[in-house]
Amino acid sequence: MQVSWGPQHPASGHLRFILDVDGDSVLNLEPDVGYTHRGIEKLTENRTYLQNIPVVERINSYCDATNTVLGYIEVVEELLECEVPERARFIRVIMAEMNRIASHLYWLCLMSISVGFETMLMWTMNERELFLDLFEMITGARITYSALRPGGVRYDIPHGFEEVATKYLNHFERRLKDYYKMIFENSTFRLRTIGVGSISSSDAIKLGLVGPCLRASGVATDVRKDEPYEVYQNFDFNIPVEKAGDAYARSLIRFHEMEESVSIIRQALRSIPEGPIRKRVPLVVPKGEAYSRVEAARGELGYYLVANGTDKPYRLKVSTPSFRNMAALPYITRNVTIADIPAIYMSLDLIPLDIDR
Amino acid sequence: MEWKRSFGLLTSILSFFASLALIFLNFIGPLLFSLQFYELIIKVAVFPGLMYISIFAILIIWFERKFLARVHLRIGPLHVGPMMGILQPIADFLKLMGKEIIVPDKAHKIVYNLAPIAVVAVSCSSIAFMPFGWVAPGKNWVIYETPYNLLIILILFTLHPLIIIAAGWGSNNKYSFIGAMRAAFQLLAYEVPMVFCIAGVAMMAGSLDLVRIVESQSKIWFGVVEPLGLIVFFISMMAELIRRPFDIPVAEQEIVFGYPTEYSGVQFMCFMMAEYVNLCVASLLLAGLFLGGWLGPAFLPPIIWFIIKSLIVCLFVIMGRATWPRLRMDQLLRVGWSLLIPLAILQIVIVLLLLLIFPTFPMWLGFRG
Amino acid sequence: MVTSILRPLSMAFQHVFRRTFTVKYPFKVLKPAERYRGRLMLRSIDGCIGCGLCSWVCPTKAILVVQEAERKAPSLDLGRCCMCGLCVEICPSPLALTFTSAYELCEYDKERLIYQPWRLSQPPAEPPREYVRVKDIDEKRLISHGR
Repeated sequence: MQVSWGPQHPASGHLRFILDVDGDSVLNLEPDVGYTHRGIEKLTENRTYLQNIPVVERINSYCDATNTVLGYIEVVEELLECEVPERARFIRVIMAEMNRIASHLYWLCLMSISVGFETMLMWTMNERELFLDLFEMITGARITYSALRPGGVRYDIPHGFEEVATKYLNHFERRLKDYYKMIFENSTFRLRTIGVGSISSSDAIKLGLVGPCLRASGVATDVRKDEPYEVYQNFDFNIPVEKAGDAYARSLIRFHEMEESVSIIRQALRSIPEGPIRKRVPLVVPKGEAYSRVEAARGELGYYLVANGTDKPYRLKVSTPSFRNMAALPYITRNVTIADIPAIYMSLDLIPLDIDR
Repeated sequence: MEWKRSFGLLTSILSFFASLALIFLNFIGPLLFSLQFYELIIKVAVFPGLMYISIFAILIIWFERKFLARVHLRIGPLHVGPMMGILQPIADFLKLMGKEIIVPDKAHKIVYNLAPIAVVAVSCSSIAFMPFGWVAPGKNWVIYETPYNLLIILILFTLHPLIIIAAGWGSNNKYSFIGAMRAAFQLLAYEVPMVFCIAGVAMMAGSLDLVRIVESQSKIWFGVVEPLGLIVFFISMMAELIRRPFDIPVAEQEIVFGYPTEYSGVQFMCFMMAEYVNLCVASLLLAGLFLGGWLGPAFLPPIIWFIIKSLIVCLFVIMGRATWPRLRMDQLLRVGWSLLIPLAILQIVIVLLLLLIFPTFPMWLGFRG
Repeated sequence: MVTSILRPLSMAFQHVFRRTFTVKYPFKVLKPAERYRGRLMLRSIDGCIGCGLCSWVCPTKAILVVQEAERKAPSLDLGRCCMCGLCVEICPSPLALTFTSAYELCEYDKERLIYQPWRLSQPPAEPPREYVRVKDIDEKRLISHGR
């Protein structure tokens, strides 16, 4: 029997899985994507580099806007070969890490509701609200900030931000302990996720997984460590790595990443230098090609830019982490039950917007 | 000629109704002047019948939403009604009443339309056999008095999987059908430990009559003597009621809403109503079997004690929704067949050994008079 | 095993007695931050020099420069506006485009979403209700939520 899981389904998001089921067990899964395709790569060819910032942000707007734009800014700056003030780089790191936490909280909300746990859904949304408040203080927007610019950032950190942020972070660290007790030590959650959808490390590399999913299989790669791109080399942080590669390991990786992000934000707030936040850059990008990659919340996010010496890109290719992680889905959903599908799907943290672009 | 014919017709109709009235007066007339008749009407319409069930359902739905909201650090229903949104379930009820009843084109029309009626009928009829305690010496407040009340309630519980399969099959929807099959597996698996727990209690009390079982707990509750039975009964009751850690047949994230997916409006309300009536009956059953039923200190009437105990059981059932994620089907069946049934059997063995070694044990604890 | 089953239960019971996180929204609102990017506003029509940079930079073509009483001024289609703020950033006149903190921007009519220059220069109407004070935002949220 074929069952269509999505695109209008309480847990699927805007994509469809065509499941071949035998009773309750899934024989085969075929992802059917494209319901949220907006043609962003094509849209960028008709807009200037400045106008592209809000457009590129929409690749993954509601979870991870800063990291998504950061990759684009990096690739443009690489071609412009411009100096970026140190203070701007620190602000970028603070915003990127705050967004990583907000994104992981959003993921934890989806993960817990995918196994039918409403309490964590509400709690994580509460704490996410605090980080959106911080973003509102810096940029004036809560979800789509468009705050990064080639050559710096648009907004400086406001007066009194550090005090509020420290208070929120202290509170957030206390709540993380509650989260751990409530969901990661919960026997039912462990039953539902341990051993579900496991990927071995060699398989994970072959399938081209990125980010937390790859680290959950025991491969310690993180662009922030391997190829530090902003001022990440200044900070002292760990990359959490798990061996098991199942849904529980992937969940645990993201949980520990939130703790690491809190420590990075603290270090950045402590050591942020004074100075300008933005340098003037030309609107026209010189001819050339460039590639940049950043560690977004879902994994490695790559931009390939071909510029033809005008103020508009000739071609911008985006390699999004969700699309690459989705490749593993048909392989790890063989011989599982229908009940495991939402847990595996959410543990890979697939966002249809990110997959389709 | 026309008026003659119509006059004849009129007289024949009148005489028909007159004879009906005579029959009615002859046979039912004496009932109208008897006390039992009014008592029965009060029992069916007010308590423990229609009125009690609907008020219980409304209050428990409101309490569930409000309580879960507090656990989630939300506020919950707020605006409908005089205080704290207490009339919100009534507003939802009116909204569901106003919705169109949609029958899918390829559904089996008869089965599809009969299933919601049947599920409400079966679940509501079980309240008729539930004794509610003494109102006068030698007089129990129950709609239909019978010594086999426990058995009848259990039989009515076992009818649910049939109706649910009918609803899922009649909807002709893949999600509904998967949900119905899951429900059948789950409900059948968890009937067994439930019955075993009841057997342990019945052996101790020496009767299958709920009134006798409650009475025999005058010194000590069965929940204290048989804690294993209490826990197993509570868990299997949660599974029978399709509540959160066991709400696999209606798992939203997996199979939309399981067997009631296709139903809308009043028909959907019937399924919800049946769920909450079942909760009412099952919590009363647990309170009666293990928590001493209507026995309690004398400052409150026995009926009130019974209801308070059942509400405490409901609180714990609701807590499950805030506390644990949903189990998977195979895990659920493994827990049912390989953990709960052995535990229930162990309880029976303990009771048997106690009865064999100390034959005076039940008299000693006041279980048998 | 037993603790991992029972600890979530006690956690849930503890949270019943904590204060709620939510604000009763239509009656009480949190004051937006100072930099909040709400609906665009022209500080004054006279302040606009009619250069058309806002229209040029707008990524969604929400802003059109129209003729308004012998001068040029921007009109805004709110249905297209994505509040990115590029126009405010690029505006050379300190008296022209700015953000307000209005975020309840629904209209019954699509036509009403198009703000002609005169309407764009009017400050948004303040709905009559209780504002939670700005300096309380963080304290309020944390007190309600701490231990």
